[in-house]
Amino acid sequence: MSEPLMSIRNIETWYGPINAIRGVSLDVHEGRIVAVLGANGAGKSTLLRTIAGVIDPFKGSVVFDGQTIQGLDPDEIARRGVVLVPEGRQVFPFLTVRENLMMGAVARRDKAGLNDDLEQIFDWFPRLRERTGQNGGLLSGGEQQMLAIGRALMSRPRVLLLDEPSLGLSPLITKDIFSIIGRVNAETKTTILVVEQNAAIALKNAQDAYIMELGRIVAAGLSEELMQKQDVKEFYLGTGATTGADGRMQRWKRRKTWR
Amino acid sequence: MAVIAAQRVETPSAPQSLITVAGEDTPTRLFRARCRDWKDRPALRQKRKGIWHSQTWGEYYADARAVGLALLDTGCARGDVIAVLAENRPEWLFADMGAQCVGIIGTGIYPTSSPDQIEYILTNSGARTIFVENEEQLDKTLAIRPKCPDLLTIVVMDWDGLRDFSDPQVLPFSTFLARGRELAKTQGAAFEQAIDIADQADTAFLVYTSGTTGAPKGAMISNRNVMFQLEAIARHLPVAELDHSISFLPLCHIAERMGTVFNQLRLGVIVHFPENSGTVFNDMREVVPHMLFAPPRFWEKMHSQIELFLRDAMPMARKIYALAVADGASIAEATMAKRPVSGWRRWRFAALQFVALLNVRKFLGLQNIKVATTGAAPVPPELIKWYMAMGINLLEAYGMTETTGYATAMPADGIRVGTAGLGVDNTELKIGAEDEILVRGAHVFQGYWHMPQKTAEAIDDDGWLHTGDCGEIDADGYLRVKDRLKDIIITSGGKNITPSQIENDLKFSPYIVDAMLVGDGRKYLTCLVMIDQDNVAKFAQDKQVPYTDFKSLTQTAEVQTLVRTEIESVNGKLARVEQIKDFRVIEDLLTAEDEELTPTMKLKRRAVAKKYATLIETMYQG
Repeated sequence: MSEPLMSIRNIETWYGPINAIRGVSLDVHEGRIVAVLGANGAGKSTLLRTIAGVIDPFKGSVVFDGQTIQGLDPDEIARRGVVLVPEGRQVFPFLTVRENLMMGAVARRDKAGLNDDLEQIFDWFPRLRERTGQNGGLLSGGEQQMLAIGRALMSRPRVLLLDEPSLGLSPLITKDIFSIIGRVNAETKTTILVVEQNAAIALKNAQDAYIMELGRIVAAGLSEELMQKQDVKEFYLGTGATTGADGRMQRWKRRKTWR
Repeated sequence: MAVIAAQRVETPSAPQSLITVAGEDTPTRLFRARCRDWKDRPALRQKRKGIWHSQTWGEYYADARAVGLALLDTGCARGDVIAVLAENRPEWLFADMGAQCVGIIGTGIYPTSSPDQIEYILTNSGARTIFVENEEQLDKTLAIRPKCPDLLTIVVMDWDGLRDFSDPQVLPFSTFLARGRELAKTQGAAFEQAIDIADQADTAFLVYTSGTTGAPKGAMISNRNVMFQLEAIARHLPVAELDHSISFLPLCHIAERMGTVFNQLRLGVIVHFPENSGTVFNDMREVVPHMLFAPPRFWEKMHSQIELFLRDAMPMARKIYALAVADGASIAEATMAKRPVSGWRRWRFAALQFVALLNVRKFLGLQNIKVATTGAAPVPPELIKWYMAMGINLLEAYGMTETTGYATAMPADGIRVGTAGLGVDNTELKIGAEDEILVRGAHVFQGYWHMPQKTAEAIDDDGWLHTGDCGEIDADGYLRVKDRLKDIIITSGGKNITPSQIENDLKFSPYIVDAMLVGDGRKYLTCLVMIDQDNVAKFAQDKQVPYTDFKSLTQTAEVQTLVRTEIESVNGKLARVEQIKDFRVIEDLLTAEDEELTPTMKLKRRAVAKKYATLIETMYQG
């Protein structure tokens, strides 16, 4: 494969005495959807925040488009085209939908295509078009997530970092959001790095995937390959053996082996 | 089952005098005496949800009695077998001791066993009752229950998740215990009588050998075997009553079975059970044990933990530590060689020890240790010297299931690094054909359960146990164990090589967990290496070597070079024919559940050789 657009090397991050990421390396190739899966506390969000510059890593590097970006300010990283959609949306509640979207374009130098882009986003998210004048805080969770993604897209990112887009959303809305993510990726070739707990939907929509546990990557590969692994099936997709010998729900779990 | 008595294998034919400890001649009578004399003293402690719970000898006796009576009530009889499938916890001891008191023979099954392995032991032993730890172990047992016709009852220690479960054969431990307590009110005398009629020649329990070659065999350990060990060990385990010991190695293994269940009867120590197997190092700091037995791998882990920790320490601290260790090691060597050490050097080392090494001992929870033993595998001499510098005499011992534990032990006042010490009291040792080590004494087991053929292969007509290990005995009687006879490698050049010593030198590296030499019938030696995930990941992180999962970590050029350097440094100490010409790193992260490892995390030679046959071939092409 060609040179990756973004390569993360040996990232190590600490919160005080807690070692949240214990040496993670991964590649993101241009135009692909890359999923990072893992349970609570695996270090997924920390990884995205480290890439976005919100946290500086203790060790390791992030190379984007041939330049090292770790340690830069978050706004500088965003200006270079690596844009984070934070966990829990964080839309501006007292600005309208249109104003919220325009906030995403603040750092853009070419103001020319703004209106076209706005149209484009409304095409992807028709719900937002219906609510252009409404305050961000008055939208439903799913709409807020759409707004947050739309806002990030307004900056014409080269890499879009999505932190748990499915958080708190119904399965149906989650499906909608992922299908739109797929469309954005297909139509604009925007590279997407998505962190998810909902492994089934993320694996289905992504091309490459990494699985993190306790600050380390334990499995990596193409999504289709990972979906075939016994451990992934049993612990992430819930399709392995989950009933006891007599048909009871099984409460204990086989230990993972990742092979 | 009267059959058992008829089957009993002849131990030395000379008239046997009874072996007694504290005036008692069977383990269960000794147990009863201790529970009476030490009634209100703590016997067992277990950490549950972060809190240590104590149990006195009196309570221990009551629980063992309840189990014993309930077992008889469910249809088990004297001479029957029961099995325990659980991690170390007090219930393990209640089940085991309760069974023994009423003449029922207990056996342990490794909690990591697969259903097939459980089935093998249950059917081979004809177990009537199985005590399982929890839902997980219950499910495994239920899966093979139809194939175990002898099995009457399944008792579950931890009923969590089973509230809605009901099965006529399955009941919770608490119910089982309550039934026994009820019976104790009326049948207490029957229990006492059961203890009274025991004979020293009766089988006390079974230990299934791990079966690296062929199917596991159930070694029958008699009351006499146990009493022999209890009589012999006191000299080697100089601890006081109420001192602390910790139980975390598998109880299915003879060493921990003796160390946890029986040594306590002689020594009066308090046995501590950690929260779970993942918290051992933390719990150890709280227990601060006075005695500790562990395989070399455990001591190596502690050592490499300290070494890696110090790599991140201040330069000053590193210097002092290095100085202290070097000083300690050279003083230890001088003491062993009985050379004088000047007062100034002693004084300087005492100061260094106080400044640096005392804290290391505290960090490991070893500041109170009086006796540290290791065995079950040869130990790298460097490791012993390091612990000596720490002020801990790590004493090597040699023994096996078939000798009920100790056959030889290192005397604390005459340490010879590289040997397994002298035969324990009343043990005869000699070297037989092919340099095989032969052992005779009252600790030699009774035979394999229902396998007279195998028994005859192990114990000859004169009562000598053929250990299957080769070694030599020096002029002063120190035993040097070389290797398993079966594992000896004969290269195509005809050179005999004992792999385990070379493998042990490799394992001393903090980056190598285990290694397996290959080269039988080949031109040169090669090896497979299992790396230590934590330490190698830390190495990669320090050197900024990118990797994703474990497999990719093993494949990086830097890790390959690292392993090569470690192998080269061992090669430097070896003769040309013994040198390792090539190696491969095992790319799978192996766990105790995998067929390639024994439950004690050793590579199984045959399973590994088979599984990685193609990988091994790549080292001999071209």
